[in-house]
Amino acid sequence: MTVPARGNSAATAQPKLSITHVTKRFISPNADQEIVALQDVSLQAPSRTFICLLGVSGCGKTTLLNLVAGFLDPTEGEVRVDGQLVTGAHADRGVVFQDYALFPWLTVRLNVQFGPRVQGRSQAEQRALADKYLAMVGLSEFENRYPHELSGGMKQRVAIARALANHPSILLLDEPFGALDAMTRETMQDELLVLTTKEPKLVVFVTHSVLEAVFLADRIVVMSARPGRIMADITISLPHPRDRTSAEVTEYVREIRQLIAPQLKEEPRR
Amino acid sequence: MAQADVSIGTTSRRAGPRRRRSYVELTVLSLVAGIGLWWAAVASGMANPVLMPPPGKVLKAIIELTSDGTLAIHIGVSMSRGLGGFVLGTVIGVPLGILIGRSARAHAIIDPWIQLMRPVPPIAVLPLVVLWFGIGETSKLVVVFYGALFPILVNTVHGVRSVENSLIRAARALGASERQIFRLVVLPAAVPSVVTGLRLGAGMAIFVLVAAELLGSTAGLGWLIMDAREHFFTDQIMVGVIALGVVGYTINRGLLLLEHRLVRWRPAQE
Ligand SMILES: Nc1ncnc2c1ncn2[C@@H]1O[C@H](COP(=O)(O)OP(=O)(O)OP(=O)(O)O)[C@@H](O)[C@H]1O
Ligand SMILES: [Mg+2]
Repeated sequence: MTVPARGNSAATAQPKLSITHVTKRFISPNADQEIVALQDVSLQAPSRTFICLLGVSGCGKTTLLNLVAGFLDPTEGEVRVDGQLVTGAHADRGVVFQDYALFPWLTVRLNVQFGPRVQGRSQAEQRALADKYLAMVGLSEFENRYPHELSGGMKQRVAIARALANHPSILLLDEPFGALDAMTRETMQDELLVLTTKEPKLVVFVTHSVLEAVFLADRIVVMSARPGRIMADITISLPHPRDRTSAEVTEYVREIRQLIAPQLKEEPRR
Repeated sequence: MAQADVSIGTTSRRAGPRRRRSYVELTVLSLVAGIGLWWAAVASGMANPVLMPPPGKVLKAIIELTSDGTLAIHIGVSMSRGLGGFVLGTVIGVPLGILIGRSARAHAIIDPWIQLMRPVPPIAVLPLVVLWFGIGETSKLVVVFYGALFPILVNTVHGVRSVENSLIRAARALGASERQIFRLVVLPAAVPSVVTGLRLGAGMAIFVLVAAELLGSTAGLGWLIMDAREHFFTDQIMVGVIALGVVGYTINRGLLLLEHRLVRWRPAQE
């Protein structure tokens, strides 16, 4: 319903997301120095895929996600969604932030209703959507709380519910569980998989935890630092649910760690 | 999952509401002791009773000035002047602050004036204001307005400008238009800062008002104090000072209450 209307290209094998030769440079504020955050990045992704962007700190993961979200424009190259050039944010691309970014003056329920509300849905529709997604993330009884009254895990559930209530066809998550303790983090990973299986979409999930990526992803895009490039694109063909301690998972983790090990050694220089 | 929710919620919140121990007795004791010391200083002859009237005499003056309505009249005069300037400062300061906070152009045009005029103590402009508007009510209104304006303006600008970028991005990704972002994100986010500005503005209004009344007027608490000084009625001076303390305290309490109502969503500051 919120998907932008396009010609009936129903059967064309057009990728859902298409990033072609994208370079992003920033002018650093103090020195007049250019920072190349991304260098010639290309990536195609079909719908209904769970992609993890993996890489060391500063390699440009957030930058890439922000380009897809439409918060930033590429310096060179282009980002397309359903064949259309991305020029700004759109309700069809839901975003979940590491710091939750909940509206602190709105209750949990009103946070979840925010998307439907600004889309001009009726009160009844707004409420029904909030009911549905709050139940889905198990927070129905906390609907009247304010964000500051919630734990980190609960806040991130609200943020996920808020993004899903808009029925986006792409869900972008920037280290959503990075601030959570290990146990909550695993619970949240399980829940996210359940949610995205219920409503399949293209998910782009940024993380720098190799295990998290192997546990979640259909595809892991490994990035290298300075300048950010795509170093490897690995398909994880293990069925869900995966066992974090299984031999297959452990093997994938080991391989990917070896791949990025040289980068990790350089990291303290940053 | 519901099980996990409950345990996450309870472990991360504080264990039960911790009630601050109330020390009402100490407060009362402190007040009584202070007045006792005052009385003792005069009774022992340490303080000259003409310069420092004993509490009993001040109390008598309070009763006198209250029963014949003098005090109420002067409080009324001062309050209406102060309120006039404060309301004017709010009505102009808040919208202007929003404008400056929103528009880089407006900021470039108006901000230099604010930065130049803000450090000038409002009393310093009083002579000029009196020359322009005469010694009557208008000049008092103007100078109180001048005093109240800057705290309100500056805090409003700050509130509007310091909205977290991630909140704006979140709203944008949920499909909000620029207008909706302004109305539903920028304004509510600025409320705490605006209310702080109002509190500071009210304090400044009283401060400036009394100074103006001391310097030239025919009624008001400032005049009451000056008039009592002419006649060497130190007890009445004390009454004026106490009345100012009570009025200021009441106004501040009122605005704090307003703040609590408006920003209930903020975590309690301890
Ligand atoms: N607005 C900006 N202005 C200047 N430089 C920026 C800006 N945003 C990002 N950068 C730089 O671009 C590079 C990539 O940053 P980015 O935030 O995308 O990395 P990241 O992979 O998300 O890192 P982390 O894992 O620490 O979040 C960094 O060197 C960063 O300093
Ligand atoms: Mg990042």
